[in-house]
Amino acid sequence: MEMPILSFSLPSSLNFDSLINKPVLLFGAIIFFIIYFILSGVLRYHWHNYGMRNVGIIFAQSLFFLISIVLFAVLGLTIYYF
Amino acid sequence: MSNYKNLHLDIDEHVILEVRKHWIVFVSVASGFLFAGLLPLIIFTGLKAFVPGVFSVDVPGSGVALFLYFYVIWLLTLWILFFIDWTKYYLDVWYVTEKRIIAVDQKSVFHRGMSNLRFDKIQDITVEVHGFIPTLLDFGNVKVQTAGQDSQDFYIKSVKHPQEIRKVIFGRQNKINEQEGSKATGV
Repeated sequence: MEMPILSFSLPSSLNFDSLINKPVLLFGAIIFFIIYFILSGVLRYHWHNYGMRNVGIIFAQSLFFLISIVLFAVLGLTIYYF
Repeated sequence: MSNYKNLHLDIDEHVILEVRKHWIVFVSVASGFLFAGLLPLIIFTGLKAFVPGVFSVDVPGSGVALFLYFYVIWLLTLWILFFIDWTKYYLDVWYVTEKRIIAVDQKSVFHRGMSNLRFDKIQDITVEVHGFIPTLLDFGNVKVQTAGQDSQDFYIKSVKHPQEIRKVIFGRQNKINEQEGSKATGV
């Protein structure tokens, strides 16, 4: 008995216009930023209160915020150029 | 310079040693995050090579910008999760002072405990170094056993230079015992 061959292809007429557009991406980024901001606040609280001004903590904090700013800037650019 | 205000030390008390887990413990966690960061690129390359039909779907706007948008969100998620894990690792520490051991147990971001152990309560310190890599990199487990039935033992896993820690703690304990002895005899 021959096994049936399953074939898969994506429909070429999929319409993402209403799902993916600049306002939706911007809204998603804002929601993400709010969550990120809250979690960053929790981390900052721990580093400030329990880090004892340790050099490792100060370095980690600087690195965390620097890279976060860069990545959020890239996120903004992707929405702008979308 | 470190500030130990939150440890509420006595006026004549100072931190002489900070005991943290070895960096190698965190390397495996960091490798996992690195792999997760590269995963979308691996999947993208794999799809492009084996299922090129996926890219024929009509996406509004710039496809590259859309991919980067989701990729950056993914990277930011990993970035903050990495630092949550790192904070748990880094703030799980023992502070050894002239008088006691202050053990900070950072189980999660919202679960933190702090215990004190005076040197006169210490009965024994056990150091365990198991395996090739721990021996090579000099890390292992330290267990401080306390006198008294109701007091709990102190245990920290995979710390740097465990023998050195044992030496410092015993050194301080001997000094305190000598001081107590001379006070008792009045010498």
